[in-house]
Amino acid sequence: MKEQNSGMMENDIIAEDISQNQEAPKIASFGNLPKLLSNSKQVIEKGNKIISYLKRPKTIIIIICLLALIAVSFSLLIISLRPKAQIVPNPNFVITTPQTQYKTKNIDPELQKDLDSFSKKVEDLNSKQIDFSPPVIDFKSMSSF
Amino acid sequence: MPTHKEISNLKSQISNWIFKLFLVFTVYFCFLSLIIYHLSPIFSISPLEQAQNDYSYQLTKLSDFHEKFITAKANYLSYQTAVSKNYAFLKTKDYFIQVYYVYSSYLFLIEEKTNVFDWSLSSFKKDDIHAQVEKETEYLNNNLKQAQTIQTLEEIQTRSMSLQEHIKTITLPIIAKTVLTSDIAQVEDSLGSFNLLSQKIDLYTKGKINESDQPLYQNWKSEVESIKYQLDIQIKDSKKLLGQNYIINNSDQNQSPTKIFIQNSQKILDRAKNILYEILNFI
Repeated sequence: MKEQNSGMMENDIIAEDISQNQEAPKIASFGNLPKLLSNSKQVIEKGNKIISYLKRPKTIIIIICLLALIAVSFSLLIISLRPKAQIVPNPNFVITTPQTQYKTKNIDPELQKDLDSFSKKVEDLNSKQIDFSPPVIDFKSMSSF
Repeated sequence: MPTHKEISNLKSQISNWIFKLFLVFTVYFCFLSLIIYHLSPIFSISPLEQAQNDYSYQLTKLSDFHEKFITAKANYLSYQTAVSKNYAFLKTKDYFIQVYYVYSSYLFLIEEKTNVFDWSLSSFKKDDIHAQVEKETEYLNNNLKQAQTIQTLEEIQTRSMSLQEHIKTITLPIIAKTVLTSDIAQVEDSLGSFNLLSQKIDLYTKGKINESDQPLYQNWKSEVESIKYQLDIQIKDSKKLLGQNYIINNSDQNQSPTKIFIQNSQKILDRAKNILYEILNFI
């Protein structure tokens, strides 16, 4: 606290010095420049105020929270913009769709998982068939002029 | 003229506004990120779909370049001037270079096809298949660099003949082999899963089946064996094709052995899926 007070006093002295010399810029008369220089004391006071405000634990906590929020948002954004990972069916993790969900009697959940996984595999075999016909290239026209 | 107090008030107001604006933007950004995060799985596309889109795009470009090449060639054949020849050369070169891009994207699509399932239960190694496709892609990329340095129409003619021969004798057989191997491996993976699962269900239902349902249980078991046998035959027949110089043709897509193999396997596996659930209703 002592250090802080002494720092503020020093700033006050500097500010007073500047305000005492406020006549000098008037000679230059660059529009509002002398006026702005006359505000230097207030600016320094304001700066000290802001610094003391920033040093308050409440402000520090708010800043940390904001930074954390920004970090979380950025990471979420990066995750969301990432291309989808390769789909490799994992027998231990199955996303079932209404089509694959068979209603059977109460069976072992582990077995149900395996059954759903197998259904998914069969459906993938049905649905993920693409036309792999090769492109048609006009080599004949290219090689004969 | 504003007083010092007014200026300082204005400054504090501005700083307050900046702080509020910053706060509002942060909250807005957080919500936006959360919405994007939740919606991304719905709108994002898989690598296979991405490869498909890329291949379609390259094919569209090929078609555009082909039109321009045909027009330029016709003009050159009509006028026989140096200018028309140069124009024909430029358009032919565009088309010729696009052929490399199309085949590179086609190979990439084929490679992505092999990534959509687990190879652990198959008799093939995914890395071996990938190595062949990657080697071919590398060859095409190296040739593309050379093609970009071509200066005359005559040179394109020679190189196009050489590329046609390479595609016919090396690229297409590799692609056909990769597609067929991938299809077989996918069916093998499904068969492997079916084998494991039918054993599990057998153990699970063994002591729980009523005495009156015993014949049904025995018939279920024989049906499971029949499915395994039929799938096995399909796989063996398709593996024989791998030894031959098989090439995918554009004309007989629906009658191609790979298509028939997949269709037959799909029918058997659909039956396999139903039969596994069926016995569980009797316990």
